[in-house]
Amino acid sequence: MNQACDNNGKVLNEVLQRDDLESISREEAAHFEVCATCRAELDKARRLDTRMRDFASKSLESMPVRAFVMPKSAAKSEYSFTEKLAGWFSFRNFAMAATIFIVCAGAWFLLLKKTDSRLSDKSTMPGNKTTVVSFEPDRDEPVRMASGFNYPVVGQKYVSPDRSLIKYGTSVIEVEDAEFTFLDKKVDLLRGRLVAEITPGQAFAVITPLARIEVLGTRFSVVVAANGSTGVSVKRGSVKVIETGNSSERILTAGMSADIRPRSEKTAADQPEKKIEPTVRPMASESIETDSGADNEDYQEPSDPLSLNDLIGD
Amino acid sequence: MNQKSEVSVIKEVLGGNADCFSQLVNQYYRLCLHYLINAMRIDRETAYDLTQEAFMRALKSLAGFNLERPFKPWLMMICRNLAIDKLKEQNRQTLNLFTDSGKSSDAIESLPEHVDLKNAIDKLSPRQQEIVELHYFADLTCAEIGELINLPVGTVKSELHFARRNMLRILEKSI
Repeated sequence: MNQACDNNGKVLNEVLQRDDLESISREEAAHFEVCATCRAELDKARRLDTRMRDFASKSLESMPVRAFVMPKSAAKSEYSFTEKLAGWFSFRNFAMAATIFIVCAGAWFLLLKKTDSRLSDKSTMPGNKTTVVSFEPDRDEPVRMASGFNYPVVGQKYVSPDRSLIKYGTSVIEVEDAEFTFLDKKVDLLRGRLVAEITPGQAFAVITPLARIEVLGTRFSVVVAANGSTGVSVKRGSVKVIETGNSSERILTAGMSADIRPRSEKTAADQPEKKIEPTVRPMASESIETDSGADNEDYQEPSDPLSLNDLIGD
Repeated sequence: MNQKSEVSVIKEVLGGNADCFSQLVNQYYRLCLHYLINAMRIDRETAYDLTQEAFMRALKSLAGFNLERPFKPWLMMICRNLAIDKLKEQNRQTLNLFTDSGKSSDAIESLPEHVDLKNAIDKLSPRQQEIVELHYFADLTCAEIGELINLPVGTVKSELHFARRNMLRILEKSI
């Protein structure tokens, strides 16, 4: 084929490798001018190229097509920022967020409720100790409670010979020379002295033979004499005093005290102006007179007043 | 459609006007279909599905497309990858593309004046057939073809040269 070609068809091969057979340099054009063989081959290749392009275009035109189905999800391939923002605030997302909030709030409420009432089934004591509380029947003989922190069993009758501290939830109750039964959210105080520092919102009541003192969030003390006479003194907050057998009730606020005696004796009197603390005579058989405050000279404040932080620090 | 107008269409699609994508579909649907059937030897029904799939993939991946490069080779690359995956799925090795010179039963019927060209193409090696398909039908340059089928440009040029020579030899009388 290239026998007559001076350069053995080198130029022709070079051109036939190109994308466009029409684009040739001057030198190549000069060769094709003088080399008839290469020129004939180039012409054939160009004709082939032309026919192939014609074939391609007509072939593509005759291709049967089917409708392209645009996917719905691709109706908008990119959303603007405001559209994305609107999407986030859609009803579905709002409902999901509300559901999550309700579930979390419910779980938190149940947790709080369980914490508040855990004394009925468990008592969490200082030092992360947990004591399982069982509801044992009352014994005839009260159990002696040691000084310091104690983990009372609900329903058990106790005698505290010295000063004992009881942690009740986040509150602290001090008992001294007292005989009592620790019940659910209340203390049945038969005799002795009780000082309670109750966290506001926590339900707690002290029941004495003559009265029921409901806590409204306060620090207060109760002294019960052997004959049942009950002296209540409020240092902070307020308590509600309900006399047993008498529907009358009164609310004592800070600085007020009340003395509840058996019917045969003198009844309680409020002293809002003068702070009168009940006497801490252990198991004094005489009733506590708080009207005049004359007996208060014998009152002894606890050596170290109760402080929740101090107690937890132990 | 030149590259400038293609870029503007792609920008429109990326801007949220997906309907503009139909312009690209109309432009390249037949080319993809022809390439799949004739060069990749995919049967006709599967080729329609793969063409649809190729455009859907292109639409999804359009955000990552380099606007400075031409759209057609990129689309052809998607078609080719889909076809290779399909062939693998059908337990046909990709290597067979270049060794099996059998005629596809679903090949497009050619017009009478082009039957000789069609026969000549069928007598080429599969690799040369694919290069011829991409060069004449898809109108891709040798560099673009090399990038698409993962071959050096020199090899593509050489293959194109031999393809032309072979076709000239086959069509010696009719050319």
